[in-house]
Amino acid sequence: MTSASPVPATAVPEPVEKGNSLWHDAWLRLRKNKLAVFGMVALAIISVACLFGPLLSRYGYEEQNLELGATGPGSAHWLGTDTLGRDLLVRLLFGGRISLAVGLAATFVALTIGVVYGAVAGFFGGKLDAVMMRTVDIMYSMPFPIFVILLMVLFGRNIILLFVAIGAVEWLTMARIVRGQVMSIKKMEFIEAARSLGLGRRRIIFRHILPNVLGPIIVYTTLTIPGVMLLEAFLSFLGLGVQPPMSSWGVLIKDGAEKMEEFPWLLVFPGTLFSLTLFSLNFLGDGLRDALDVRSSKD
Amino acid sequence: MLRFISSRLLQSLFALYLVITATFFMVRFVPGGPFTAEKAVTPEILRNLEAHYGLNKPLWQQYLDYLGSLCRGDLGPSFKYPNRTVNEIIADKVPVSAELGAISLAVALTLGISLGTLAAVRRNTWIDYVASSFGMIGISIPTFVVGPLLVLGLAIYAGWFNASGWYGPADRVLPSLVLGIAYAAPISRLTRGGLLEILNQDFIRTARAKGASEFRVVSRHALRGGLLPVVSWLGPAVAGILTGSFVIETIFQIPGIGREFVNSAFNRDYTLVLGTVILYAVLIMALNLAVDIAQAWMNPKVRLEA
Amino acid sequence: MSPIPTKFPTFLAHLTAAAALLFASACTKRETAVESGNRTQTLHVGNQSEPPDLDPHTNNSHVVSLIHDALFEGLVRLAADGTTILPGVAERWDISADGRTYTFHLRANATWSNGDPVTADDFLAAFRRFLEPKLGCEGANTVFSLLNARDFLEGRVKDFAAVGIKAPDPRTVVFTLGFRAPYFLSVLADAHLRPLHQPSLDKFNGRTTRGGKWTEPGQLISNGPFVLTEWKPNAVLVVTKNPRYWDAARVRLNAIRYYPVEDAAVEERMFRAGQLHATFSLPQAKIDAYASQRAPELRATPVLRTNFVTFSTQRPPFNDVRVRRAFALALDRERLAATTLKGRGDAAFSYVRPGVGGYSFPPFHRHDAAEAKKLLAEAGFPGGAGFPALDYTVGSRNQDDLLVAQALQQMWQQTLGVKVGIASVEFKVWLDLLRTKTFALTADTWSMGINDPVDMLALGVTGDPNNDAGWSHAPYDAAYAAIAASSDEPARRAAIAECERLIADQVPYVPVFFSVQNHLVHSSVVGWQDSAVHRIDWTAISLKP
Repeated sequence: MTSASPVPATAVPEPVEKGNSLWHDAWLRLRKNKLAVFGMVALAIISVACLFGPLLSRYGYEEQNLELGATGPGSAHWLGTDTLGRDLLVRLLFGGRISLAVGLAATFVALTIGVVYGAVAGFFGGKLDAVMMRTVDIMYSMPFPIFVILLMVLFGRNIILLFVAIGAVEWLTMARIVRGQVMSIKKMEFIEAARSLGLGRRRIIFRHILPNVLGPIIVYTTLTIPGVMLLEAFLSFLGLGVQPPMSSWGVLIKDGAEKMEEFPWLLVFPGTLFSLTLFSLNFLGDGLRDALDVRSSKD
Repeated sequence: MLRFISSRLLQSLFALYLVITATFFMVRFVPGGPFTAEKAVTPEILRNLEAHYGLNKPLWQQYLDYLGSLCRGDLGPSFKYPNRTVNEIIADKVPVSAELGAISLAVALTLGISLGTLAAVRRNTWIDYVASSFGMIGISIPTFVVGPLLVLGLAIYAGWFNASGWYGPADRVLPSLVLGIAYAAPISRLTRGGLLEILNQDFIRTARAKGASEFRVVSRHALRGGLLPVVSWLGPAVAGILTGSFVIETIFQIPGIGREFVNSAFNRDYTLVLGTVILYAVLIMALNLAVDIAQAWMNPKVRLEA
Repeated sequence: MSPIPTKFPTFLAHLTAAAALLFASACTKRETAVESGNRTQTLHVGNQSEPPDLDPHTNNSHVVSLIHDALFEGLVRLAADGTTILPGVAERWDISADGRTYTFHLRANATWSNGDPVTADDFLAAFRRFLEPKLGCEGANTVFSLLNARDFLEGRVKDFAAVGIKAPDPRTVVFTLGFRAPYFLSVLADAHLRPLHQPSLDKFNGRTTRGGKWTEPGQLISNGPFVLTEWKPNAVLVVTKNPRYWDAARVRLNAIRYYPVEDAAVEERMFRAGQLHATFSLPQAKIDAYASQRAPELRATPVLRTNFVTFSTQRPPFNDVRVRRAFALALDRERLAATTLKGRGDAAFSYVRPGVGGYSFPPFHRHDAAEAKKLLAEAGFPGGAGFPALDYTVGSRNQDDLLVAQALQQMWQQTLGVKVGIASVEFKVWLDLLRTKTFALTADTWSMGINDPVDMLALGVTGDPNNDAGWSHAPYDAAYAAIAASSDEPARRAAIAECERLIADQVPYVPVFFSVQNHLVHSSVVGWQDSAVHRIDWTAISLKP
């Protein structure tokens, strides 16, 4: 039944007596990982800047100055302007909101579908599980870029749809991971032990099963966001990104890549911020994986 | 074993049927058709065109016709390229993408496994950080940025390579490097994770205690199990790699199938969309099966279950 | 004993060796394609996209036309200036006094690339095929001036003998037109209207079917200065000199290699790396750099393409002509051309580009912000108040087109106080919106297929399939009909001017800019001449090493 799943349902963290200490230990381990800490700090700074930065600027993200055109970084425009004379800093921060929102929202969609689907399959097992997992296998064999493109073509460049479309692509792996974890934990001795001790079902689920499933979920979530953001950039490359004059990092990078020799700042700043964010997310994800001791493979 | 394989094949066939059906109806609901051209033609001309390809029949009839010809191995004519069939286009372009993919995969595995191993063996040292950071480049910078940058540096300023094209062996270098770097990232990360898990296990400690050199411990004992996650990742990934990359094939002007995946959808070339989807689905099913067999062989704990 | 670690070192060694070899070979100074091409008179051309097929009847893109100009020759051909008509297979022709009968006399020495003579019947068969109802050729409307041609195509006339083309003897072709069409010679020079080699058509049942293998290398028999020798889809298409061409002495190039490079940035990099002699595109951002550093290689050619805004005239608010006028007057085209367009286009003050077919128009559509505001207020939206939120639909994936759209959007918002969004949709979705008229206003373009205003003025005629505005205006229909009915040139000129005036007055379309094609031609190329109709005389070109 589990043959197609690449998640070996073997390795699960040792059961811990006190639920708190698992997270406490993880936090201590995470703090020792310099890259993960760097990632966390960088992400915090970037998120705050994107959220509040545009409020402080005297330019709007769509405010043009046709006569000015593309100018390099200077005192009026710290990061320069694009070919329509728009302030790059504001567009960059505003684009960050969009890209991070796409990343978070799509991952949230994937998370919701994936966790519920995986948990149901794993919990009930049997025929239902077989059918549900076979469905996942079938969906895996679809070339999803095509479907995302078809969806974008069909419904237009709608940002809400972008979330949903990408999320609908990414939930499969999550479902597999959660199912594998739930199944193996269900069978574990400590759950039996907990039952025989007369603990309530609720307590078992929240104190014992969930903490053990949460680790992989958090790790995979952290690692899904960068993938989603890259997909957004790819869609922008195809001209299916967010609607102008709205900006996103994908749109800015695509635009910058086309003009990298003439107006290098249009690529350098968005590219650096985008890469830094993805670096940070990946390092944080890896750090969490180590810290939470999620030893099974990513997918 | 035989029972396992035949049962999986049957399942795959059913899955394939579902994929084909879903795609067939999905592309038809997208606005615009294969003959929606910038300059509109008179309704009479359009009717004749559609009649020529049987697009005037009811949709269910077209669906049955398509399934019928599919059973004979005929993927139909291309709407966009009237003198070529979908079979010809796939036969023509898949080898190119597969070659690019194979070279890139070699680059990716070499780079990814070395970096991942290095990072795992020297966990949480600066070597780990440098190796991990380098491995991360591939998933942090989009290929449509890395590609033009390499072309500018190595082809235009240094003049070592063609800016794009797919003629001689030298033309393979830049595209496979860009694609290889992109795929090295997940490989290095999976290798690192897999190895870390194995290196903590008892038989490794035993090997170390017996005085085996670190290199021997890693290469002889740890890598086999440590690469398990890489192998399971490779299944679906190889299908993606072999079927080409739209970005790389566009930037380097490579006549591969990757561009058709996207362009057929833009052109509403219904038969070609289906052809590429079928190609991808078959590849992925075959490779997943191969991965399961390979995993069973690499790790006796995994049992093949039908 | 797992194979991966043991085999790994050998695998690594192979890879290292291969890499070293490549590196060594790469480091030696290579001869670029342009350099070797100059030696062998082989022209390397970036040709934008893959030709769908080489059937001249079922394909009407520029990409295919450029290849057809090398492969086939019609009765007449276009000189490099794009307007002068030169003899082709026909050595001379007579036009009747009423301008409705054209008699062509074919030269005796015109042959197919396999040695067969080119006969009048080959032209007749080609026209028969072009108008074949079953084929549904997209460009067939260019010959609707031919007597009964449209009726035959659309099935109202069954007998081809009724169509105005006859071959009284093997070296004479006679055309009878249904109405006076001074542009008829330029239509005959069009890439569609080439003779086809009948035996090779018949071999693949090609007279009534699409997509025969007769267009493959080795099968394609042509009568032009070059023959098809190689066609690798999405890689390259090669034509080589045809020794049997009747005027082979004029041809200097030995071969032309067409590369279907879809991405303009990729094409420019190939040009800079010495892989291409010429491109047909240039990213807008590169124009300044080439103009200042490599000016002789930069060609800026005005082309017959108008970029305009189309209103959905049957739906509010653009069913009100005052609103349409207000939107037209709010645009500052000079400012746009000087800033955002920067060399990509010339400000358009008329619908048809002045000079097309020898006609010119007074400049309409001057920028007038005060008048625009006044008109919008009269229409019931003072200062934009109460104006419905709507989208400016753009169907292009080109970043430069989106920049123009954003600049227009700002002009409307700032001048009129209205809120206009941008809806950028995929190209075929956009076409679907146009055909179903489910848009408010959209960025539209038209490339003229015939070098005459009628080609583009047809877009205003009630019920025309390309009347994207859904506009219906009886005086305009009458004026358009008067063009075909005109018996002499002054009458025709007056009718065309009336059409243009009505469009300026009723504004179903607002011209924004006329395209300028920026592209690159290497300094070793001699005799390359661009024209507004985007056709190249390949026989005039040679390469100096």
